[in-house]
Amino acid sequence: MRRRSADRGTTDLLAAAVATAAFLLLPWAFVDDLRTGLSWLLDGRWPLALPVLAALITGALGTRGATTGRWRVLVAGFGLAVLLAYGFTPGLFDGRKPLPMGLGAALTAAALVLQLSRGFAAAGAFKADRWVATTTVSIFALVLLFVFFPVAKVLASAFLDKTGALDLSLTWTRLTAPDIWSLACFTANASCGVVANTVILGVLAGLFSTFLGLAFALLAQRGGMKNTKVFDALSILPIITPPFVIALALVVLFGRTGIVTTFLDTWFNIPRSRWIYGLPGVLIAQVLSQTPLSYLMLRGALQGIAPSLEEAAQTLRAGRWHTFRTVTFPLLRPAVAASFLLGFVESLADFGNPLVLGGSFEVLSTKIFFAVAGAQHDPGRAALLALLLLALTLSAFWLQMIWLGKSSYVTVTGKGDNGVPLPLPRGVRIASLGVVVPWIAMTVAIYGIIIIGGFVTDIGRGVMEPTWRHILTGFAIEWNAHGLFFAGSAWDSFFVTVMVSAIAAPITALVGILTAYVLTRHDFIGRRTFEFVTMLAFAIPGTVIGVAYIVAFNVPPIEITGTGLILIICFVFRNMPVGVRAGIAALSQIDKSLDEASSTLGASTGYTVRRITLPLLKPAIIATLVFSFVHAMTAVSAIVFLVTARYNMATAYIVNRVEAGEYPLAIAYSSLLILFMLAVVVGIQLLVGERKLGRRGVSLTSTPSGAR
Amino acid sequence: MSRAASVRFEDVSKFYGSVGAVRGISFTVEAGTLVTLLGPSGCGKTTTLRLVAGLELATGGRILIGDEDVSRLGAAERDVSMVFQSYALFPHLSVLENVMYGPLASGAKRADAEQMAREKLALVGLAGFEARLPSEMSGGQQQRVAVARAIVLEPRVLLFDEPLSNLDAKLRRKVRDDIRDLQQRLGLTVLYVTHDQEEALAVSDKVIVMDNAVIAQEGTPEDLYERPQSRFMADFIGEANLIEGAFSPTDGGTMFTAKGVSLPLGAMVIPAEASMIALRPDRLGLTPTPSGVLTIRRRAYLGHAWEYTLDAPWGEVLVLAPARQPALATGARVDLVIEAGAAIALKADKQRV
Repeated sequence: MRRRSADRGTTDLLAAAVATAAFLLLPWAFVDDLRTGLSWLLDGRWPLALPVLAALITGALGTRGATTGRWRVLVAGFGLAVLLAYGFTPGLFDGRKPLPMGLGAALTAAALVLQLSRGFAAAGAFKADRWVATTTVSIFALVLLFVFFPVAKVLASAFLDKTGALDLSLTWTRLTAPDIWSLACFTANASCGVVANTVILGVLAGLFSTFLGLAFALLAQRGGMKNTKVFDALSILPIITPPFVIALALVVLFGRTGIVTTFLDTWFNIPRSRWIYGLPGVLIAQVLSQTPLSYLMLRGALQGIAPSLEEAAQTLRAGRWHTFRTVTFPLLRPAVAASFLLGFVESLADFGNPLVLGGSFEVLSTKIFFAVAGAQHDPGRAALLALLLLALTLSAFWLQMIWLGKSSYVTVTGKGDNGVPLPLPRGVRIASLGVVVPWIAMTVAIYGIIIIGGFVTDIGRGVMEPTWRHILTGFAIEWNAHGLFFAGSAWDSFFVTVMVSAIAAPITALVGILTAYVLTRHDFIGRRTFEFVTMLAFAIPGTVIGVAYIVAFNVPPIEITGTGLILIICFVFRNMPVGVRAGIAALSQIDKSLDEASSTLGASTGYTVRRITLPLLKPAIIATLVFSFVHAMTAVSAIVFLVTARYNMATAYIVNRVEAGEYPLAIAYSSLLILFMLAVVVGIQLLVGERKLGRRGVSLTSTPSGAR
Repeated sequence: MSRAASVRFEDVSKFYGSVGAVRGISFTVEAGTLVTLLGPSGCGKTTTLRLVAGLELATGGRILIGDEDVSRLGAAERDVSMVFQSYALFPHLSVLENVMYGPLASGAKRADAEQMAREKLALVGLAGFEARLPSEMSGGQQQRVAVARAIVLEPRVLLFDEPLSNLDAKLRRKVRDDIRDLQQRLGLTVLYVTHDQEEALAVSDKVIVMDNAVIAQEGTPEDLYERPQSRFMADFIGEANLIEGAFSPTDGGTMFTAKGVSLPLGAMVIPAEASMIALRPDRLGLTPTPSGVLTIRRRAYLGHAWEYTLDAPWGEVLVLAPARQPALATGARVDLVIEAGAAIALKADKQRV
């Protein structure tokens, strides 16, 4: 039976045809202008002809077989370079104003990227695999455009003045402003600079959440608890809770007119105060949302410690406490460090809680926001602050790398290990319970507030009369002459949120999983760079991304601020690293020889990915889908910069209600959002079967059963 | 159905950075023969197999299948199939779908693919198992599914990567014979990787022994056993006593002297620079003599033979004597008797540990 034949250049010709059609038929620029590339060309914008010409020549070269690979790279690369150069600096060519890029330009660029990748493959790069070449180059180009370029641009703008000229003295003035670096809070009764505030908050949040997470994990794994389902259920909550909702509930409980404050005032004569606004409040809110994640991390690490190690220690005459101190805890140390750093980084990136509870306590993320959105409107200053925030975050990741890189204590070996885990020493158990029980009570109280809050007159002032008013303000549905009418004021933002999240989630999963596949299954020159660039998005705080997007995409050639598209793009590239990680983890469970078997049977890489890899990756794909959907629905930090009246998101809408003091509506909306996401997550798990989401659900290795 | 084609390597190399997994090897596999790649782990035999499959691309040299240069073609374009060590059966597809996979990937119609798959499953004795999942079958059955899947496209070359290593000892022998039968019945060109020399000698038309990224020696199984060309080969294939010393011609043939002991070898050709001999333990005899230069240190009963370990002036000597001969006592002094033509003269090559 004959195998499929090698490349005959059909795809390159097709790409050339697409580029030509896009040039002749589609609007070249974005939004309102419907003129095609051709009519712009006739208008005197002659450089537009070059990319299309390049696509045609590359297409023709493609039919000549693999020997033309280098030429195709050169020509397609030239076309792409002209397209970009003309977009950014048309002055170099014809001295006219920049032209925003629309559908026509985008399709032409896509065709050229495709031809460029196939040229690389024909020239022997990427092991001559056209599919891998196309996937890698396309993702690389997208990440450069939507992560690297905006971040680079925002960093550059930290050194520019308002006219766009380089002004280092201004940068110096901005950088040395006392409200950034002051350490006055340590010496006098004054407030510190924003950097000190941010670091103090981050360190405390990391410490407390790790400590609490450790207590939970020890109890769940070694505490002799019969039923740890409560812990696991609590651990889902922060994932589906918009970040500032906890802050909101804290205000309702502990604010000046809060329920607990009023109670203490009435019964114990403890005067009302605003202590919750500032470091304590923000810290409590962040620790509440971070603890469950620390718990999950540390529980995983505890599960990974082979019980036989503890049994070995006991047979060597070590008591429970001695074993815990000398074996169990040292093995946990890397996970503890990782959990602390994660808490630190999450605290840096958090925007919603400081916004609601910060008061006069300023951190970098809120200060960046007010530098852009506030009265001062100084994007250069925002960019500089973003630079500081990015530097802090990257140092934390760097620390993690040098700290944890050396000490990997993985003790899981594939061999069966049938020991019984050692119960906790008494003292540790009691201490853990003493921390955990009040904490659970607090969590329950907070979520209770969120559930009840929307259905009473004014929970903020303790008026607990049941009412549907707030729900109706936001979500009234009327029946009029035209049929159903969504009269509530929140419906628009809700629909936009669901739509944007539903569009972004599958794209995120696809891009993330394909990236993971290329990274784990194929080796090529530049693989490390590719890996670094795709993971970079993970390290960049949302606030920085938000500022970067408005700085970079507010002007031609890519002018997409104010559209729904920018929201989708933002979510895809913010959440992509999670898909990459899930994909890498899942792929490492799947024997590589399955792919190889497929290709020796004559299947192309694309066919293999469709028929073998993706079906086997189903659990990881679904996990990524759920995660990116939920994360898009709950995100605040990046998108508060990007929403508009037309494309408003639920979280931004709620933040606005909070700022306007409409707490009941904000709480009502939050609780509906949480319920909606809970329904989605539970629905998907029921549909797919929850156990299948775990990696032990299906056997993915191809080890013959006889040998097991 | 003879689509079987020859495989030719011309000075093929595969480097990972500066590390050579395969360095400038050349060999030919004639169409319709079974050739084994044998060698210690890390010698480059699996890399060689993957180079044939197209799973690795050579960094130098040419690979030809039939008359076609396939050096730059990927695995999917080569018309070569492979049976993997782990079998690599697709766990989410049934047995039938696994075997149909190749035809479908190559664009065959579903009905044709199914017919081809059923035919090949019947050929390996698995008719009736079509609907099962691979995980529901025994190791031996999985192995046969893997073979059916590999031959369904009637490849020009069929590759086996240690196909028996996941089977228990009893089954190994049967599967080994089944593979050889199938190869002869269908006239397939087969390249087969193993580290088990007994397996290699038993199934092959030709064996290629690799060592340290190059070919140490190739030839028929008898060739390799009877006429090893290096110390490594003598040591690697079968057991051998290796003794360093000097040759001197005498009237009755050649005399070999090691540590002052002279051993008559009979008539033989001595290659230039030869400085050692290899002696197979089963071609040595022992004569008890009070003045003998060797002492029996240990003896072990193996069923079909006695195995004696002796102390000699040049070191240790291993001798296998037929079990029907009377046993010699430990501590007895003996002389060594070398059968005519049994000694193999060798150049002293680099010592391998």
